[in-house]
Formats: sequence, C-alpha cells, structure tokens
Amino acid sequence: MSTARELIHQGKNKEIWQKYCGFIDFTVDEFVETQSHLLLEQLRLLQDCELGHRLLWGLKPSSIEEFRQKVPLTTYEDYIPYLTDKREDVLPEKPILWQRTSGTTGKHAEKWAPITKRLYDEVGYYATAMLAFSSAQRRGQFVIRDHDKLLYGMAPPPYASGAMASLLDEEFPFEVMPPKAKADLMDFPERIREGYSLALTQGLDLVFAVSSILVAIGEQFSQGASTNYSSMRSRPRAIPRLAKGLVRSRLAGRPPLPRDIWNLKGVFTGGMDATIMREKVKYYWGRYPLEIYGSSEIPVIAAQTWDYKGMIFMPTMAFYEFIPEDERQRARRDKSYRPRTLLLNELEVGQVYEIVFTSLQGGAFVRYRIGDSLEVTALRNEELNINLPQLAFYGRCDNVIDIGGFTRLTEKVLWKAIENSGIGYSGWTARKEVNGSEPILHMYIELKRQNKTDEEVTIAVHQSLKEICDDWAAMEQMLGWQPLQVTLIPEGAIGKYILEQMAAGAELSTLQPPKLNASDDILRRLMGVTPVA
Amino acid sequence: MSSQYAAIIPLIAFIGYVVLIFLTAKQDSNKQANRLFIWYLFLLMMWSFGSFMAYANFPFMSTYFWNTFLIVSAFFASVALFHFVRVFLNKPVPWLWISLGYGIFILATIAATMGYVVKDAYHSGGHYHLELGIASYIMWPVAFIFAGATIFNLVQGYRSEKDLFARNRIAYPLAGILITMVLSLSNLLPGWKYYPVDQAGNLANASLLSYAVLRYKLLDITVVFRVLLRYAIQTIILSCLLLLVGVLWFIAGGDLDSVNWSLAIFGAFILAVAFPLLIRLMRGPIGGMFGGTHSGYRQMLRGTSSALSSMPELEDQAIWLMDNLMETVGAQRGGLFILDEDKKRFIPRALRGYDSTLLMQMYMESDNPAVGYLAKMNNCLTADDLERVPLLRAMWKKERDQLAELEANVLVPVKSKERLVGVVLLGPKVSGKIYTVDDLDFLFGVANQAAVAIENTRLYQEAKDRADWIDMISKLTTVIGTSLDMNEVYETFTEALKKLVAFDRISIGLVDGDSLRFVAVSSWMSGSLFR
Repeated sequence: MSTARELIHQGKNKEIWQKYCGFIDFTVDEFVETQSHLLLEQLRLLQDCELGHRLLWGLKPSSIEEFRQKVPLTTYEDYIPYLTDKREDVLPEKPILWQRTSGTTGKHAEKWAPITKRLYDEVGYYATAMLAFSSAQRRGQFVIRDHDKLLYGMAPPPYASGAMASLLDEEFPFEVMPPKAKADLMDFPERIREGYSLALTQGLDLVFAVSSILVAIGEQFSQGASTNYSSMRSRPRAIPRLAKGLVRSRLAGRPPLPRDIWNLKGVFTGGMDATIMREKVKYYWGRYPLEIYGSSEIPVIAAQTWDYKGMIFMPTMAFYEFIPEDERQRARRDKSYRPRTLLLNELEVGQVYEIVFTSLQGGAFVRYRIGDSLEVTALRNEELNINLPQLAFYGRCDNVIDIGGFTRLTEKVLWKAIENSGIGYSGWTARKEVNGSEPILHMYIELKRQNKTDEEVTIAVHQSLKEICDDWAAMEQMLGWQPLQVTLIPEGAIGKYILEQMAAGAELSTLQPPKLNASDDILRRLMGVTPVA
Repeated sequence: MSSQYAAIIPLIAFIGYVVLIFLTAKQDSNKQANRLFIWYLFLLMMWSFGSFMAYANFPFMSTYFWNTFLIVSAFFASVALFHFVRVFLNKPVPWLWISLGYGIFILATIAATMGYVVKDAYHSGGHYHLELGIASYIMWPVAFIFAGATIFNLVQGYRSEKDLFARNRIAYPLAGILITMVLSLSNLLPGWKYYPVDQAGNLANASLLSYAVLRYKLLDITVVFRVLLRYAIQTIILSCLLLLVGVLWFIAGGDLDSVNWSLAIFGAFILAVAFPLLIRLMRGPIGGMFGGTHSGYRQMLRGTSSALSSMPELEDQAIWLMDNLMETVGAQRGGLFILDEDKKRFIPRALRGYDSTLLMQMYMESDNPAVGYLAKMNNCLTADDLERVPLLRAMWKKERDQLAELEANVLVPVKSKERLVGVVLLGPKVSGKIYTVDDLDFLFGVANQAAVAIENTRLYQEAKDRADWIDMISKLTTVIGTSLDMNEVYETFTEALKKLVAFDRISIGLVDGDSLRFVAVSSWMSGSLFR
C-alpha cells in the first residue's frame, strides 16, 4: 500500500486525490451506506466488551434501525467510570493514545477519549484530504509538494489538535516548524515564536493554527514588528524575504502583512472563530482558512472543501445522527422524552440539528451527545458538484443566551455582531442578566486603542445584531425592546487575566475568559474590582 | 540512394501520427494532458509531412519551403513535448520557460522567412542537397535543451515509480524521445543531413508511442480505441510494406514520378480498407502459433462457455475454470466464490493453491463493500483499488484481513444478466509481476462467459435439490401413512434424512408429558446402520 508520503514523493496527485479526497463524490445514500456497514462492525465489537454492554444496555441490535430505536443516547457522564481512569480492558478495541479536552462534567475538569490505531489512521487519511483541499484551486488540482514547510500553531498533545501535529509529521515529507521533537519541549507561546522565526528564515507554505493566533500575528506584522531594523539584524537570513515583503507592501501602499512575505499554499484551522475571522485571515495571510470541525472524542468530524464554504462530514470516522431542534427542545423540557434522530440523508436546508455520533473503527462512544449544534446550509454544493449536505457550526447547545424566549443568541452570533460593528476590540464576554424585572444581554468588551463610550458601543453592537439576527430586530420592531447593555472592560484587563491564569497553571483552553456566561468572579477580575474580603 | 524513395520513411511516420492524433482526440480532448499530447503529435506530424514533401520532390513544390517548414516544426515540437511531459507527470508547469521556448522559436520562424534557418535546399541528379542557415545552429541547441529537460523529467519520474506498469508507461516514450533526439543530430552532421535519418527516429518514436498507448495505456485510452489503434497500426505496417515494394518497383523501372507515387499511395489505401478481412483470415488455427500468451487468452475465451456447459456439476465447473484461468494468467493461487441465495453470501467452490483447509470456511457476505462494488461496476478490482477506491473504505477489518489472508491481487466479477453470481479471486502471479490491463480484460471476459453456464448449473442444482426434497417428503408421508411397523417408519425416516444432512448418530424421541421418551437410536458405523 502506498502512503501519502510515497504518493506525494512520486508526484501522483491524481491517485492522491482519488484515494484521499474521493469520498466527496459519494452520494448521500452511499455516505449513509458506508457508515451503516461500518456501524454493524462496531456493534459486534461493542457487544463483546464491558463498556459496550453497558452502553447498549445488554441489547444486541442486528440492524441500524433497531440500534437507533432501542439504544439510548449518552453523554460523557456515562463514560466517566471507564474513561477517567483510562481503563483499556473495558473498551471495544485497545487504544494507542488518549486525548484530552477540558471538561465541564461534574467534578471532572478534564475529559479523556481513547483513540484506536484504526481511528488514528483514519485521521491521517482525512488530514491528507484537508491538506489537498486547503491548497486546491479546483477539483483534483492541488499543490502540496515534498518538504513543504508547515507552521503548526495548535494546542500540543494530549489535545486532539496535538495528535494532528504528530500525524502530519508521520504522514508527510513536510518540514513541521518547529520540528516536533523540539516543539514538545516548548510551551505554546514559545512554539509559536520559534515557528514564526523559522518561517522568516526558511520560508513557509502551509499554516495550521487557531484563527485568532493568525490574526494576532498579522496585526503584529502590520505594526512593523518583523520588518524593523533590529528584527532584520537578529535574523540576517530573513532579510531577502523581509525586503521582498516590504517592497510589495510599499507598492500596495499599506503596512507589511504576512501575505507580502509568504505565498501560502494553504491555511487550515479549527475552532469557532474560524468563520468569524476568515476575512481577517484572508486579509493578512492571503488565503481563506480551511475550517475543520472536530473534538477530542472524534478528532476530525467535518471540514470545508476548496471553496471554503459549507463543511462536509468524514464518512468513516463515526456514525452520525442528528436531533432536530424541536425534538431537542422537547427533550430538554421533558427529561423522560427520548428525542428522535435523523440520518444525513434526511436533513433539511436551513434547519439546526444537534449532532450525535457513534464512534467507528473500534472507538468508544455510542450515540454520544457532544453538545454541538450544526446548521444545514445546503443539501449539495452546486458550485463544486458535491452531492453531500453542507453544514456550518452553529453553536454549543448548552451555551445559548435566551432573551425572554424571543431570541436565542449563540457565541458565534454575538462574535459576528461585534466583528461587524467595526469596533476595534481585544476581547469580550457576555451573559444574561436581569435588570429590574427584565432580562438583558450584558456584554463586556475590551476596546483596542479606541476612545468610545459604553453608549456608543451599545448602539453599534445593537445595530449590528439587528442586521444579522432577525429575531433581535423583530424584538425592537414589535415590542420596542432593546435589551442590550455594554460595559467596557479596562484596556489590558484580558491580557492580565490570561497572564494570571498562566501563572496559576491553568490549562490552555481556560486561559481566556469564557465568551458566554462568565461567573461573577471572572467579571470582577476583568473589571479590576478587588473582591471584598 | 535516391532521395525520392527515402520519402517513404517520413510518410509512414506521418500516417502513424495522423492515426494517433485521431484516436487521442476521440478519447477525450478535454483533458489537458490529452490536448498537449495532440499538440505534440500534430507538430511531429507536420515535421514528418514537411520531410515527406521535401524528399518526394513533387513538381511545383519548393524543397526549400518544406525544409524550412520541417525544421521549424521540429523546434516547436521540443517545447510542446516538454510541456506535455510536465503535465503527464503531474508536475508544476514552468510557464516562464515554456513561454521563453515558444518565444525563441517564434523568432526562429521569423528568421526562417528571412532565410536564416535553411540557406538552400534542392534536388539535383536524384540527390537531395541541404545547407543550413546560421539560425539553425543557434536554435538546435535550444531544442536540445528542452529535449534534455524532458528526458531528465521522464528519468526522474521513472525512478520515482515503483509500479512496473507505470514505469513502462514512462519508459517507452522516453526511449522514443532518446532515439529521435540522437537521430536528429544527423541534421548537424555533414554528409548525413541529406538523408531522412531524423525521420527514421521519428518513425521509431511514433511506433514506441503507439505501443505505449496500446500496452501501457499512456493516456488511458479505452479498450475499444486500443483495439482500433491496434488494427490501424497493423494496417499501416502492411500497407507501407506494400507501398515500399511498389515504390522500389517503380524506381527499378525508372518510373518514379508523381503519378506513380499517387498510384502507390492509392494501392496502399485500398489494402488498408481490405485489411480487416485479411486479419480474419489470419485468425485461423495458425494464428495461435504466433500469438503467445494472447493466443492462450483467445483460446480460453473461445472455449470457456462450451467447456463449462458440458459439465453438470458446479464443483467441476469451478475447478475447471480456476485451473484454466490460473494457468493462463500464471497465478499462484485463486478461488471461485459462488452466491448462496439463502445465506446471502458467496461461498468458495474451488480454492486452488492454498495450503490451509481453514480457508475453505471463509466466505464473502453480500453486503461486503468489495462485493457491492463488483456488483455495481463492470470491471475487476485490484489490490491497489482496494486501497484507493473510497467506497471500499467501508470494509470491515475482518473483511480486509480475509482478503489479505487469501492474498487477493485481483477480484473478478462473475455476472449473469447484470447480476453478480460469483467472484473469482486470484492471488499473486508465479512470475511476481503485476496483472496487466490485458490480463484484467481477459479475466473479466472469461468470467462473464462462465457466468451463464455457472448460473444455469446453480439454478439446475437448486431445482434438483428442491425436487429431491419434495420426493423425500412424499415418500415419508407414504411410509408413515401405510406401514404399521414403527421400525420401518424410523428406518425410512433416518435413511431419507441421511441424504439431506450428514450425521453419525440420530435419536428419535417422543414427547411424553414433561419428559422425552427415546424410541429409536441409530448410528452409522462402517457404512451400516446399528440400532
């Protein structure tokens, strides 16, 4: 069997595309068939292990229909006795690594998920596909080459994205910057600095990083951080590249940007901010980021293709089911109600669904509610002739601000509203508060070198919210409500908060204040109010 | 050597290129590689045509013009070839160099119109004279740089390939280009430039490209067109041989003029049209003497259907088919899996060349994605396909391990009326070589010929088994209804059951309240029944 490394080395792009990206040519029925066949294998594995026996409630479903009808949905709570202690003897297949994510379940501050060899191989397979998508101009035509240089700016192992770094390093003849062995010894900011420094001297072809980091680097560039004299003196080998960037930016009549220095073949990223920051990433780096949706439980669930629009699912990672929004709401009200699920070929455009998945390839999760909602943006991609539903990340099911039952605001909507308002900001957080007897959306925003009042920012964000959220606009139009209050956080407060968290040894995912429903304590710290002893 | 009959070499090359262009354009002219290949072939065709016109020396035709024409075409062909090879090998196209190349040769064309490429060219006393201009000596090195870069790329591609088939796909065009390049050097050598030595190279190139297209699917030309091309090349070769004889005959008589040239070409054309008939005549019993492996393929293709139809048992058919297939393609081991309608799985009827008897217990479920793929598509599945086809990623680990244990190199669908009734599985070849496109075409053809006979036998056996069953039930009913001797009833029942199910012992018990009372116990020992 030829690996991606060998095929790339031999320049067999056609074979690479067919082997790794060919799943985009599935019909939606073929997609479901593929998943169903693999699920039957998974059910056999589950029936023979302790965890499976527990999750299937001793049932032995012989068909997909029976499985969906009889096996209950699960949450991480169901796995705590088995996974928190990393018990390998109870699993359907022995894992080769355990991935970690920050948890919110009860007293367990972290969640662990086992990854089998087969799942790991599948991640490598889809990582190749995503590399091809991120650099493709059109179907089958991509430009990944031997020894392309990759800047890796995601969280380190044992986080899911860290495993991706290891996979990339194993799968391809790329030069990951900084090299994995060296990167493992560095903390996150140090790795980014080192990678960036190497990219200046050695060049850069691909970037895999969180969008906010890409934007931050871009902003530093535009302020001349890397093109000043001292920077050039410390990196003489970078001078030609920096000089080229300077000339380009001067010709364009604007500050230097990363895109002036590097001609990237691809940028790919994960996280909710990918959609919101995409225009900024394009502005700074010259390419839209390819958005990837994944989790610790299933490292790659869906990804965009080369038009950077809707995401499509990866067929062999997990068996996907979808809970319609009304079913989810009903189940929320009535705890005894078991919501009905749909399969991929039953989805409707414009609807929001909660995703439920069952691991394939010997994984551990059965009808697992990860707590994310996805929106179906189209049933097929007309432009690229892909016959699979196109999806976008909608938000966390449990992270929604509901104002009077009239409008339900997700983190993504709020972020987009601030972004579209044109206000320069460093960070923000929002929560529902009660003002007198009325519920309000209270946003706390730290401005970036701007002299504006709370009222001015409130008006700007309100206008922006009205434009992107019909329900918000209707609330004002029909009820005369304007339940938004903005309070400005002192400049530098969020940076200080991050430093404090780092000093306290907090994990990477909790360095920043939460975007939604932050606690009183966090807000006090941000506002610089000393807690009363 | 008279220059006029030397014209036959470029003429043959010219015809060869016309056929290649036609077939490539018919295949898929939308693919970039195909378009560039056509452009390259077109320039080579122009080169050959110019050479033919220059050597044939027809009245009212300017030898000088055709010489200039042929040299300029050759220059452009070198850039076109470089461009094609970059695309063919999936490498980035260096537009700067390609634009530069075309730019230089556009300048060469302008220089040619001013007489700097060919100074003079003429026929005198039956001999051909050529004097190259200064621009030629400047442009030839440029053309050689492009040809050199092409060769470098092809060698690089060849070395990076591990697949023998893909290597050969590169090796033949590479050989063709090398021959053309070396023989083109004759244009720069005094004394040699008067003869169409470069056109001999061109002819060799056309032959090698045709061979690569036929044998190694250089541009993925479909079977139908490959067959067409094969016939066309056979026709051309025979026609040209006859044309050569005709031309030599005219030369011997001192009558080689334009009228006789036309006569010779017309005669060759008539022969080309009549050639399929000759082919059919040659496909008689003596055809096999020259056919080698392909003769074996043809004989098996012809004989499969009739041989299998004469066998009443499915097992015999399976063994005959596997033994013959394995021998013909040189497979070490293989097996035939036939559909069991009741169990909805494909069960091995003949596993040949395997040591372990455990393998006989293997089967393929109908919902195995590989089986589903074979049912849907009309082609064989190779080991490479098992890794490459995305739909097959749905295969279970067990399903993959099973095929790995059987060392499956090829899976061939056995289809009757578009329905999959069996699967032929073949292991590695004895020679260690890979299965060629011809092998796969042959296997697919034979399997489909066998399908009807196998399906008929299977249906016949099914019907026969059903009839036996009904007959047995009827006998039992009669015995139970007419005999008062219970021992006779038990014995008849046991005998009948033995025909259906292989067993060593049988007990017959009657329900008596909460307990079971055994009324008869029998066992088969040394072929006789003990009670």
